[in-house]
Amino acid sequence: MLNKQNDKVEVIKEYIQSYQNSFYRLAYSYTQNSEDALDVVQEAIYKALVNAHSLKNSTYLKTWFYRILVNESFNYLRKRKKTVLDETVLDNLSYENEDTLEAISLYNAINKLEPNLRTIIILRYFEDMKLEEIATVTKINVNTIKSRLYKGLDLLKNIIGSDILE
Amino acid sequence: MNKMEKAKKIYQSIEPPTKLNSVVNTSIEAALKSKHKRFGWLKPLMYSVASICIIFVITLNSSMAFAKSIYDIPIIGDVARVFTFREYSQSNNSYSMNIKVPAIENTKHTDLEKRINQEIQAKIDIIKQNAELRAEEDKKAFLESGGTEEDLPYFTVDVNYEVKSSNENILSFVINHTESYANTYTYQTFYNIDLKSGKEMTLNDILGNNYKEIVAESITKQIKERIKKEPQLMYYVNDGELDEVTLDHLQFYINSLGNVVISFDKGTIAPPPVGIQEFEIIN
Repeated sequence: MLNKQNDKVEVIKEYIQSYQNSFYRLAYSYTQNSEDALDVVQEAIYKALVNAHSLKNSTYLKTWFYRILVNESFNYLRKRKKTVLDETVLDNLSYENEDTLEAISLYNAINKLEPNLRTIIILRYFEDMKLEEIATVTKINVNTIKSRLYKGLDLLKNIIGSDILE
Repeated sequence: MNKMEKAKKIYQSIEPPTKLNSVVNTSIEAALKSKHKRFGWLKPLMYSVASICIIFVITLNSSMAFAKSIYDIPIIGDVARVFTFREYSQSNNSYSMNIKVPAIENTKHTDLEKRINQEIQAKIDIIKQNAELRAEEDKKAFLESGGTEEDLPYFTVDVNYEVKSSNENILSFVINHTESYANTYTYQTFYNIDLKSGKEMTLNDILGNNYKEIVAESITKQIKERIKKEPQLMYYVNDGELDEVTLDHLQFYINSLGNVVISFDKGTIAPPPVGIQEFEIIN
């Protein structure tokens, strides 16, 4: 348990600094452009620290912060008029073989899923969260998470044309 | 390695811009330095507004003649209404509060009036106490963490009311409890009271035994229409189907057309940013 407010703030601060790259990537998966992703991360951090008191137990630091971050991302999606795509992601990739190309098309397909399905796929497979953690982050019950996860995987399978978990 | 793991590698290969670190640190500093000043680079949504609504729906005795014959109370000029019972505001360097306490009168049911008015007052007392307590705690924590009296975090609390519908049969109004802080909280409490029986009205009374089907069907349809108009909208429902738990805990008021309006708290049926979600059930 965290007893002192400033200890808590310190823990949150350290956590944010250590995982800033992950936050950026998650925000980027919604905004699809760098400037907006930075905005989302910036606002999420601000809100998290100002509301440090709402974190009751440091065990839940990760899901607590991701909840703020995902909310902020949805906030962004709701407000933005049009996505400005930048293509920097794929610049870093080497087009070695067919496998990589397949992975790229899967990655792109995930980014085209509707946001509520995308969130669950990304948190589950890219952020390695447990279903219970995803439920906490999204405030959606585990059964709904499960059915959305299957629905998402099904859609991806149809797009890619083969089983993606094999 | 399966395809998903490879896609993960691609995801992880997203290189954050070099300025991420400075953006992160600026944001941390700004948050720690002061919680109540607006920064040029901050968007207004930082101070997003919370709304806590308490809605009371009162159906008055549908027959005035009946009321008269039983209670022998003069009717002319005695229209049941909601009025501002008390109004006050207070503020200091960490918060400001503006509170309008509504009360009901001329319902021809003294006990009910008394009960509801006391309940409203009690709720508002709690809101007030909580705000004062929170200001106290925040101040202590803030000063302990090295802040100065001048830079105290600031919040506002507003309580007011709005009549949703008022006629000889129904008096329906909402009490809005609004808190402006960096975060957003929304809770709604509804009362649906049948003055004839002195019991709370249920959807079963108004819409009939199959009210769940009626409500579910109408909401599913409305959700689809809303998503069609605005594809980015999302609802926490499976293929548009409301689950049993949701249907067991519906909250509602009566609008000026006499229709039931189902109201969902912020964050319960859709992501918090979209706020309270209301669905008019046209029967």
